[in-house]
Amino acid sequence: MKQPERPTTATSRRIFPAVVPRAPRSIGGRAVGRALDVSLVTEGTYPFHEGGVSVWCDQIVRGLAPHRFHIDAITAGVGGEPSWRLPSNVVAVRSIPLWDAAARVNGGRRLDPAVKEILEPLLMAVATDDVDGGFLPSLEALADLASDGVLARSLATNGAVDLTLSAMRSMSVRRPVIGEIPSPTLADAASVIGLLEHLLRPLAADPVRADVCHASSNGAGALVAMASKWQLGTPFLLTEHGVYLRERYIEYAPGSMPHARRAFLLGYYKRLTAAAYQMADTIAPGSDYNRRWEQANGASRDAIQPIHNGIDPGEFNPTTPEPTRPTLVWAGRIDPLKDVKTMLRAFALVREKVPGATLRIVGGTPLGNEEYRRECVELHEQLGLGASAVFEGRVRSIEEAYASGNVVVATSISEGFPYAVLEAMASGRAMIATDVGGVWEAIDEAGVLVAPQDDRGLADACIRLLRDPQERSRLAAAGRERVRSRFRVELCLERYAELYDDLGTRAA
Amino acid sequence: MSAAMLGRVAAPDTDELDVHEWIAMTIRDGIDESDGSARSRISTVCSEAVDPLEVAAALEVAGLSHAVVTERYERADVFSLARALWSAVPFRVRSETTAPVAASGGIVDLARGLLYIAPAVMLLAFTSTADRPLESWVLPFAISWGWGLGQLAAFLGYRVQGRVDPRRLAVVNGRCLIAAVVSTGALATVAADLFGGEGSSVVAATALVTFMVASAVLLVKGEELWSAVLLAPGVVIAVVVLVGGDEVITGSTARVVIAASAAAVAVRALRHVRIRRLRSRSLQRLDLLHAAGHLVRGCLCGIAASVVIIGIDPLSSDDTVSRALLSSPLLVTLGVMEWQLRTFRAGALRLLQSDRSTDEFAGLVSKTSSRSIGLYVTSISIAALGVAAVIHARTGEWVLGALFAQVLLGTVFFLELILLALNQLRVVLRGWLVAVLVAAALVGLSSLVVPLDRLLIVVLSLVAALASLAAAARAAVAIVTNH
Repeated sequence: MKQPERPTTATSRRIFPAVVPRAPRSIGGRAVGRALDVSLVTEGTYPFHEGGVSVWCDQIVRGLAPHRFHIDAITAGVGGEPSWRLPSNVVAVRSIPLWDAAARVNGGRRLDPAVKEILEPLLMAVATDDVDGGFLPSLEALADLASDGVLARSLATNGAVDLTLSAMRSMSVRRPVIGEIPSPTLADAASVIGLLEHLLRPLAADPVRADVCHASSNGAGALVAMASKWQLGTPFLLTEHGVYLRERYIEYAPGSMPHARRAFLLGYYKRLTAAAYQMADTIAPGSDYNRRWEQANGASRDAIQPIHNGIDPGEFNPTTPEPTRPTLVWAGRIDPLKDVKTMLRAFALVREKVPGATLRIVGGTPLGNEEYRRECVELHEQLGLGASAVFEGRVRSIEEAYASGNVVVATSISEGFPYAVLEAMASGRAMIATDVGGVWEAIDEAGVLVAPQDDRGLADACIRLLRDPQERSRLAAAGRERVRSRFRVELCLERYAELYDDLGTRAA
Repeated sequence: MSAAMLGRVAAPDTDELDVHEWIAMTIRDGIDESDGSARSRISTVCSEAVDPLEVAAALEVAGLSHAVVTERYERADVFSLARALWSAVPFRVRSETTAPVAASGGIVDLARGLLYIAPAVMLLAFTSTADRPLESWVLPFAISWGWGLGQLAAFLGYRVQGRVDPRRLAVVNGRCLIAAVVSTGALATVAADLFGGEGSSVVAATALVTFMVASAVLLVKGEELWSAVLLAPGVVIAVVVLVGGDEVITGSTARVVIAASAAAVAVRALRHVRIRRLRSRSLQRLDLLHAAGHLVRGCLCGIAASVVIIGIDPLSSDDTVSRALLSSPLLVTLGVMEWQLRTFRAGALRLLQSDRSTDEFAGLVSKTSSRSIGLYVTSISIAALGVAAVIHARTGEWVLGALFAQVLLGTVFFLELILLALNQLRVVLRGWLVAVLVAAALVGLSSLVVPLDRLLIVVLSLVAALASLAAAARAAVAIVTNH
C-alpha cells in the first residue's frame, strides 16, 4: 500500500481527476445521475489514519466529487484531527468510538425480560452457528434498543452474563473430539459480553439521511449501514478490501485466548459478516479473491460485483534507469503480516549466488510493532547481512524508492488487492510477490508469484530475475501495460459512479 | 488487522512436516498424531478450528493459494480442501490458554506500605530539625494538592501507557511535572500572601508537591524499587534524627540528606520526561474529565488526611514522641491496605474462573470483600489501640476519639480503593461529596445553633462517607462485569 511510507499528512497527495456522474438520463421516466448524499462508513482508516483503504476512500470522495460525502468513521477512541485533507464535498465527519470515549456503563444484576427475549436468540444463533435462526431479527431489535443506551446498560448486567454463559455452554464442535473441550467460565462469559457491548456500539449511532450508505468494510462498519437500512431504508453498498472474517480467524488464532471465548467471538463475526452480505444491496469486493470468501460465507453471487482498486500510472516514471548494482526493493510497513523475515532469509540466500546484491527495506514501523522490528533486526544480524540489507524507514518518495531497485519484492502473508503491487508495476520494475489474496489478479503473467513464507522459492525467483535483464525488462513492460489497461483509478471510479447511480435511483 | 496477533505467524520449523506432506498424510492415509510426530505448522489450527473457514484461512497463510489447491490437490477451491481437513482431523485443544492464578497479596504489598510511610517519616524529621517551623498552611496545602496532582499524573500515565505509546507517556509526565511546579508555586504564593509566610514556604510546598508527582511518575513506570533505594538514605537519617536527636547527627546534615533523597526521586523521574508538543489524539476529552475526577478525589483525600491527622490535636502534653505516634496507625497499616486490596482482587478473579452462576458469584465475592475489609479494620484498630496505650503510658492522656477518626478514615480509604479497582470513580466522588455536605451542614449547625466539637464533626462526616461507600461497594462487587 502506498500511504504507510509517506509522512503523516496527506496534503502532498495528488488529487485524482473527478469522474462526473453521467449526465442526467431517464429510466422509466425518473431522472438519474444527480449528485447524491453518500454515507461512507470507515473503520480504523479514513480520515484519521493512513493506509491502503484510506487511499481508496480519498480516491472515492475526490473522484466522485459531485456527490456529497458524510463520513462515519469507526474509531478506537474519539477521532481527533483528520490525517487527510478533506475535499469540500465531504460535508460531515463523525467519529463513532468503540472504546475509550463512551463513559463506562454500570449494569445492575437483573436483565430486563424484554431485552432478554431479544438477546437470547442472537446469542444462541452465534453459539450454534444457526444460519437461518434469529441472528438478524435480534440484531435489528437490538438496534432499536441501542440508541437510548438501553443496550449498553443491559449488556453490563449479571443477567446478560448468565445468558451468555448459558449460550456458550450450548456450543458444540461439530466433529469428533479427542480429549476434553474446556468449559466456559464466568470470566469467559463476562469477557465476551463486555466485548460485544463495544462491538455493537455502532448500532447506537443515529443513521445519516443519505441516498446510499457505503460501508468500506464488513463488521462494525456494516452495522452502521444495516441500522441505516432498517431505520431509513437507505440502500447498502458493501466493499471489502480485506476479508473481515478471514482476518478475524488469523487474529484470534488458537492459543490467543481461551477456546470458549475464541469460538464464541469467531461465531459472532461469522454470523455478523454473513448477515451483512444478506442485507447489502450490492457487494463490491476489491478482488475476485474476496468474492470467493464472501460466497463461502453465504453471500449471493448475484449481489457481488468485484471492483479492483486503481492508481494513476502518471504518478510513476517508468523510464528511470535501473541501478548498476543488483538491488532488491522491499516496501511496506514493518509488520508480521508483511513477513519481513522471509525477505531477510531469502536475501541471505540471494547473496550467496549474487555477490554484491543489496536490499532496501523501505517503510516505517507502526506503533505496537517495535518488538517485531527488533526481531527482524536480530535476524538481520544473525544472517550477517551487514550493510547489504538496510532498514531505511519511511522515505520521502515511494516512487523513487521503487525506481532505485532492479526488482521490487512483496512478501505479505495476507493481502487484499494491494496498491503497492500496482505502484511497483507502474514504476516499470519487475515484481515478485507472494501469491496471497488478490495479488495474482493484479500480477497475472506480468510478474513472478511465489508461495508465502517460502524463502527458498523467493530467493530462486530473485536470483533468476537479478541475473536476467531481458526477463526483467519484459515483466516490467508487461506490468506497466497491465496497470495502464486494467487498473487505472478512472476505471475503478466509473464502476462506483455507476453503482451509486443505480442505488441512488432505488432510494429515490 | 491487528498487529498483535501477527507475531504469532510461525517461521518454518524444520522439525515439522512439510505442509503438503501433512495434508497428504491427513487426507489420504488418515493421521495418527498421538505421539506428536506428525505435526505441521497448520495442524494446531486444523485441530482447534471452530469452523472449516478457519482452516481455509490457515491453509492460505501456509501458502496454499487458490492456484496451488486447484492444481496440486485438484480441488475446486481452498474451501473444499479445508472442509476435507476439517472432517479428517478430530477436534482437540492443544494450546488452551489458562488464566494465570491470581496471586493474593503478600510481603511485597506490605513492603510497598513501608515505601508510602517513608516520605512521612522524612518530612517529620525534616520539620523537627528545621530552624523554624513551617507555616501552618504549608503541610495541609502541599499534602492535598500533591495528592491530587499525584493521582492525576498516575491516571493519565496509566491511560497513555495502556495505549502502548512510551513517547506520549513521557510527554504527559513532563506536563504533569511542569503543572506541579507552576501551579503549586502560584497557589503557594497566593497562600503565603493570605495566610503569611515567605519564599521558603512557597519553596517547601512546591518541593513537596513535585516530589509527590515524581513518585507517581515512577509508580506508573514500575520503578517503585528505585524509589525505595533512593529514599533509603533519607529514611535512615530521619529515623536516626527522630530516635537519637541532634546528638548523633546535626540537623542541617540531616536536612541535606533528606532533601537529597527526595530530589533524587525527582531526578530519576526526569528520565521518563519529554518536553514537546502532545498530539491531540493522545488524550481525549473524557480522559481529561476522568483525570479531573482523580484530581478532585486526591485533593479530598489529602484534605481529609490533613484534617484528621494535623487538624485534630487531642494532646495537651508536649511529648514529641506521642505527637509523632498519633499519625502512625494509618501509616503503618498502609501495607495491610495494599495486601488486602490485592487479596480481594485475586479472590474475585479466582471466583470468575469457574462456571458458577452470577448469583453464586455475588454471594461469594461479597464474603471475600467483607473478609478483606474486616482484616484491614481489625489491623488499624489494633494499631490505634496500641498507640493509644503507649500515649497514655507516656502522657496519662487518652486520645481515643482522634484515633477512632483515623480508623474511620483508613476504612474510607480502603473502601474507595476497592471501588476504584472496580472502575467506580463516580461513586467514590459521590461518597466524598456526602462527607463534604455533612461536614458543611454540621459546621453551619455548630456556628448557628449549637456549638459542636470539631472531632465530632469530623467523625460524623466520615461515618456518612463510610455509609455511602460501603453501600456502593456492596452493590458494585456483585456485578461481574465490574471485575
